[in-house]
Amino acid sequence: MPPTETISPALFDSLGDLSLVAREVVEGFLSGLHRSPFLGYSTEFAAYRPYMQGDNLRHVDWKVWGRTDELYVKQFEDDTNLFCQLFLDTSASMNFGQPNKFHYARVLTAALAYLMTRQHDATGLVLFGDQAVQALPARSKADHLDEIFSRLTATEARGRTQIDASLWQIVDLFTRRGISVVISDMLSTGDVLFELLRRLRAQRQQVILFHVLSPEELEFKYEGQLLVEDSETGEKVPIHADTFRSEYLARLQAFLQRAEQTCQTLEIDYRRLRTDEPLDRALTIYLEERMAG
Amino acid sequence: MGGLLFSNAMLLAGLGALVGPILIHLLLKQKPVLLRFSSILLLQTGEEEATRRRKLRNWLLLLLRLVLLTLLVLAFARPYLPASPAAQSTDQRRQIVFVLDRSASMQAGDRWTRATDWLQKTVARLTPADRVAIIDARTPADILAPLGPPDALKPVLQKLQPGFGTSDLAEGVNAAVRLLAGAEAGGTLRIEVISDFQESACARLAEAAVPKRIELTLCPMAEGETPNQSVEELTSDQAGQSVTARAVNHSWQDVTSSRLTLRVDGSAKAMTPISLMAGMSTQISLALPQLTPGWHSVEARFAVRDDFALDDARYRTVYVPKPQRVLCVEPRTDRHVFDQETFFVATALVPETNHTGPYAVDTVPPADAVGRLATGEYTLVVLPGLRELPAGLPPALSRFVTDGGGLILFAGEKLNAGRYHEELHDLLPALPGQMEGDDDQPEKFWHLGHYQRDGLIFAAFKEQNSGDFTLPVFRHRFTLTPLADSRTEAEFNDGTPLIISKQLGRGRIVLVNTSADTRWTDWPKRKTFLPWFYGLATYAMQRTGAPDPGDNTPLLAGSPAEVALGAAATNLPVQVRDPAGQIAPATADARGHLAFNPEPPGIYSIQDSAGHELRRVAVNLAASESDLRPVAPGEINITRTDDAPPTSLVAGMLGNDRRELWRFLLLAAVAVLFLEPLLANRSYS
Repeated sequence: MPPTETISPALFDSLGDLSLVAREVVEGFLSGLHRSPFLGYSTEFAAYRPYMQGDNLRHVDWKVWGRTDELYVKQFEDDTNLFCQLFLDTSASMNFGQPNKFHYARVLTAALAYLMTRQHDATGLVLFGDQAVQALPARSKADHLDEIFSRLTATEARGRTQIDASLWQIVDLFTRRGISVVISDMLSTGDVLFELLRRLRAQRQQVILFHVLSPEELEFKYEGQLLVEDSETGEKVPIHADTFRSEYLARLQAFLQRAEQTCQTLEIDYRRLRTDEPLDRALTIYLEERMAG
Repeated sequence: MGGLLFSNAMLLAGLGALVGPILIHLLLKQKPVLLRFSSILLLQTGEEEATRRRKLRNWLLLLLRLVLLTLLVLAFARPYLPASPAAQSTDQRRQIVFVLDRSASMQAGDRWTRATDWLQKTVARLTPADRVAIIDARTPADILAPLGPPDALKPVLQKLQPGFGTSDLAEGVNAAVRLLAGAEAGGTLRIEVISDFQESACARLAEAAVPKRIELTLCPMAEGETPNQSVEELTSDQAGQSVTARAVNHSWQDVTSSRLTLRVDGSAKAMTPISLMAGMSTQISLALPQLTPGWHSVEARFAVRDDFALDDARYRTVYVPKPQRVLCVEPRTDRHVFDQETFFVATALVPETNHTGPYAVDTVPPADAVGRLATGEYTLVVLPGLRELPAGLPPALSRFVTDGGGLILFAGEKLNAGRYHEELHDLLPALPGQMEGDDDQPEKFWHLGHYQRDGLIFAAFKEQNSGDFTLPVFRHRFTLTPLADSRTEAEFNDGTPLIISKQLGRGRIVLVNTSADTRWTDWPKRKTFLPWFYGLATYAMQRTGAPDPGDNTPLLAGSPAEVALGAAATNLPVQVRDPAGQIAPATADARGHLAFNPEPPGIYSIQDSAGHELRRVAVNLAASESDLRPVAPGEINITRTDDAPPTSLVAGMLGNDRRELWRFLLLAAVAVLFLEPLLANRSYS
């Protein structure tokens, strides 16, 4: 059993120190992966290659030169830093469910940021929602992680999902290949979120979509006459839960299928996350993509 | 709804139950719970419409359920459409005879109201060309209105009142058939029998014959169970000291904690608790108080609340005769009362000083007897043996007896046979001779021998072992020589007359050949003395001993009655006061009988023109009227003539004459019943 399950998703709501939570999640996750193929990414020796002009002399293996009189250079895995961007949906629709979707997504974002930084990847953060788009450029410094945590802690989920030109401008700046992780419930009017995915792909980003949904949204276990209020718009709709459940589930299924198909078309790794399941799966998915990249 | 009628209109009150589903609908109407959801993106489309459809469906469901309930209530109320005049051929006039049951039971519940409503509605639908008559189904049947136009019947209907007697529907139906037989030819002939169809009223209905060409409609006015408790019998014992009432519970429910009250002359004299199981009866005896001479009214009332109040009480009259005045001539009035010669006979007639009995005794010395007899108040004189008869007493006694009085002569040691021969010769049934018996020979005595067992004198001893006559001992007596017109009632054991009598004029003389006290016999000390002397006095006064005419059988309400008022009332103008105090003049016939028709039950008083009461009679309902259960329709059979087989007519005729709608309503209810779950279980998939 992965140690990350020692932190229940339900506790995400109550844990105030986001950096601590992210660290606990990632370290616990990594300690359970001692036989994982993801090990050795750091300064581990990978191979020798003949010395070429311009190579740093610090990497020449002088012992081999002494035995063979040839200059060989040690090659290490961590030579290639990755450009990673985290996109977090902060619209009001995320502030729903038990466990709360936004809390879950925020911890996931923090954990991914921590994991990326630990791997010396350059990590950036983009928050999109009702508020103006806030972005932290991708850096791999340790103090950058603190800034990410600070920004995540200060962020609340509210307002409508509004994606405008400012976001497109940020995306257009992604000139390096990298991994973009989008964490959203995809509940917005229109196709703006799918447009975001398309733009990221256009910028040669390897995109992972974590589609976060709460058990309430997936199962709709309500009863009786309800007056449902939209958390983003405040609009109210009367429904009878018992009779409408089957209709809702059918619509949800169609919605999920559309998202999945769109992602498949765009060669995006679509992953659906329930807020009542541990974060391990999300981290594993990321690492798989990281290795593939 | 103009022509729509209901057989069970009372059940329409069930429509009030419609409030139930409406209240349930409103109370169970859910208030929507506010739910803050992430997004209504997946909820928006079509749900509002679905909600509107759901609301519409809920209202439709409520409407369906109300319709279902309404249909069921209407079906149970049995609506029908009477044959409308428009539906009939205009050139075919109808001739209808209503046979109306006016018996007392029609006053139970709303039977009479329903009957008159039926009559008025039916008559209102007739055309001026129609002919209609109405017959009271009593015995004999009474034609209240002959065949005539409907307008002529309306005044009769307005005055129509229920009766208090019984009914015989067969009489009514046969009278209706006779009436229609003489009707003008053409048109539809119909008999409508309007009754509660009590068993007693239908008893002879099978004997009625109705030609097939006459339509017959039976219109039952009794609806369901009509609770009723009654007092169906009230009798009194021969001595007039108590009455026995029989209370009956005709209901299907038990009666608990009720009471039976006995009223005498309007005042409550006794009350007893009473509980009666359904369908059971009980007899209750209640003591009557000491009644003064004259007529008395007795009422036994069952304190119940039922649908028929007329039979809750039963009535009876009791007549207490005035005491007979007896004059005892006592030669020893200066002695203590127990030493007087007539002490035993006077005590036998009036055992208690304050007792109000059939006799009142005056004891006077011989010298006063003539004056007392002159008053004419006495019916019996007891004369012990006298040595000397006061002047004027023999002719006074002779006149007294000749006018109808009774005279009892006792022998005794003072009896002067010579003077009796000389002065009372006309009165004596036998001539006394020598006195027999010797005080010095105590072993010489006589017993009672043969006696007239069937006579009034020894009436108390008719039963075996009712008295031992071997015990009285007679030690002295006179030799007697019976006269030609005398009759020996009893003899000593040697054949010498002991009691001998004769008629004189309208009166009777009885000679007892022993002393009135205990000097010659110990009979006054024996138990047999008192009933014997009581019988002797009755015989001497020539009373029959039969019950008083006041203790008669009560009359039946609504039936002709004849009451005997006595010879003195021959052709006498009288007046009859009914229970409500209304006075109606009448005249007794040549026999002294009065014929009249008592209607409401209660006490009727027959008085002479001066207001003196001649007779009081009780009038009660016929007991058969108390059983209000109707005969089941399937059990009513009336023979149809013209070779048609006997047919049970109730269901058929009712169905032919009016259009019953309950079947259609039930069918519609079943259809709604199938539709309701389809609508209720419909889901939005």
